[in-house]
Amino acid sequence: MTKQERDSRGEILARLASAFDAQTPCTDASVRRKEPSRDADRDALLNVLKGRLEENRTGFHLVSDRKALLEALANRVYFERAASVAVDAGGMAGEPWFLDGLRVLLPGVELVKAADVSPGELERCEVGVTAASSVLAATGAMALSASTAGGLAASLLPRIHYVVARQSDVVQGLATWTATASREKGLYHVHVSGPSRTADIEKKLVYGVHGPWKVSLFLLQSE
Amino acid sequence: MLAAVVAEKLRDERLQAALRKSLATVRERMAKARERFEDFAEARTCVATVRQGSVGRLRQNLEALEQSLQAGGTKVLWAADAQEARFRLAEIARAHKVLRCVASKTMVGEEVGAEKALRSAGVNVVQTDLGERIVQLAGQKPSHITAPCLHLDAQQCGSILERAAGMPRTADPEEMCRFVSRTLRDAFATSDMALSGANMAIAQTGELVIVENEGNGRSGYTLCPLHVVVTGIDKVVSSRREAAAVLGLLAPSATGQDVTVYTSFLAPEPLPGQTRYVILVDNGRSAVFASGPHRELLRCIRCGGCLNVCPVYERVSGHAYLWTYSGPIGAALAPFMPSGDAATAAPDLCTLCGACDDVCPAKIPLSRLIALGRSAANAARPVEERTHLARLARWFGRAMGSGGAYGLSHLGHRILARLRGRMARVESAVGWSGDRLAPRPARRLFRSMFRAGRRRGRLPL
Repeated sequence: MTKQERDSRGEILARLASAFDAQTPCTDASVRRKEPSRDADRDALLNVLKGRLEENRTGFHLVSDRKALLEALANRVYFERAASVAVDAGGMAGEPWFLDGLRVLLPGVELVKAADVSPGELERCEVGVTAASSVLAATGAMALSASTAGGLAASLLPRIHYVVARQSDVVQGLATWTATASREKGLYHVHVSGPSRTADIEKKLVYGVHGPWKVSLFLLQSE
Repeated sequence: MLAAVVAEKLRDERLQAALRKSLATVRERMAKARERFEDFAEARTCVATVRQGSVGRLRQNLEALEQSLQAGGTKVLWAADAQEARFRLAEIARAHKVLRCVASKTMVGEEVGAEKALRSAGVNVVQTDLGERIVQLAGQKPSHITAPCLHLDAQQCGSILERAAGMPRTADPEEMCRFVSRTLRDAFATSDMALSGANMAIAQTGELVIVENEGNGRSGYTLCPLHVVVTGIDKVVSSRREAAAVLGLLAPSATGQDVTVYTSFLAPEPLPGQTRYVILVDNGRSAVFASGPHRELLRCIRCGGCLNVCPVYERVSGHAYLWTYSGPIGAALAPFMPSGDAATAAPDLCTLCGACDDVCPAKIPLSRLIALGRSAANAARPVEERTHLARLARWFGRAMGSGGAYGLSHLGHRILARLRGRMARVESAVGWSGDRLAPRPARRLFRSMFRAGRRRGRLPL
């Protein structure tokens, strides 16, 4: 048997089995941050989140209802002079009122459903809109989910990324997310905590490397 | 060899300035991130316990991971050593007729020589992390686990990009970043393969966890039809909950961020139309697992925090360690993994000050393990060298143990100390640092002061 044909799996596992004590008990330990307690009310959670988003250079828009959300989004798209917008039709962004509403408010703007095109085509979109299944107050990370390359690319290739979520989706932190996040087959989760960045050269922060250079969260209060 | 490399690094003033500046910034950020924890010490204990559990169940976790990945359609390959990992990579590239590959930062890939293997299979490999791209264009190796071009200042980075990639001359990091990301967009769109590492692999769910700030890892696994993940067998954790505990300290310890910009949990099911391979690399890890106290090294989460606080690393940089992993973790691992000359050299790059012990998020007793590693490294030295060292140690022991010899050496030291400038040359000649003066010896020896004190009845003994 040549070196490459050998049973490396068997060799490795056998070496691990022959070592001592492979039965260390599992632990429930979790890392505790100075994060809002489980009993914290929604406003307290929101205040913590606002602070984190600001630190993470993420814009924040608190909107009262669906109409206000759509108007706020449309205003931002017009402000950025975007000609085409990629929308990942997952979660809230996939609900009929959302897409229909955007179409009405953005008559001259091309709305591209991310799942319907190849991911490379999304590069021409100036803005990407995706929904977050959860927003983590302790770190300001927004948990996105998608099961297609297009869905993932909508939050990556456009230079501006808008995230929509409901206030009821705001959770304490990562530990809460892991306990509640979907385990649906084929679903990819990506936590986004701000614009793409690097500090590789002399530790100087530069924003907008391979991902969006501008990120904003639109939080819907009423639902 | 090590002495020559270290001397060269110490003479390089630009390197010294670049390291001082960058490491001071990252240490400041790490300190701020620590303040965010209710009790940072408790958080470290949690992560250490979680990692200890993961390592203890390594075999069971690996079997469960393989099952979860395969059930989702990911192909799993095992590599006992670097050579086999290279063979597997080349085999995959040939089977899928790969011509271009975008690589995102992977230390295990660096360790096994992934780029070289792919090139030998006719693949054009483009590094896509900004720092990695710069060191690739310079024909160098990364010098830090999380900051590959830490050893270069902005002007040097600019010169490399100007010379090797045709960028207009600049020393502005922002302009360099724009240039590199613009030129790499095409690479992502046209590559047949993405190569990446994984920060963790979750046994229960089969998810691969990748953390990054730039989005190059995401671009690779999203846009390329073939995704190959090269990761160490030590990166497996049992559950999402364990992964969350590790993630809680990974970014604060690495870059001083609360959390990285992107944390991806890749399902075991490849994206529609995509093929994914995971190569699980041993390359000495199972030997570390079986080596008693050194098993604690497998708790490492590769944050690079120990490098950021190490006073030796700050002077000599990562390349002086002579292998992939540098700093305290590199010095501790080298004697137990295939690391070439570093196996005996790297453990010497430590003052045993313990700064790394205080920051390691997995509470690995690095300085103790480096000291133990030195013993192992000594055993591997040639007999003549060991005999010479033993002779020196015996001579030193005799001199310290005898009042007369010690008194004579003290006198000699005092005379040399008066010849100020020459002292450094003498120290250099006997293998001491040579770039600073040792403190001048006290006028009187402690033992003579002690004796005098006893004679005057001031001491109880």
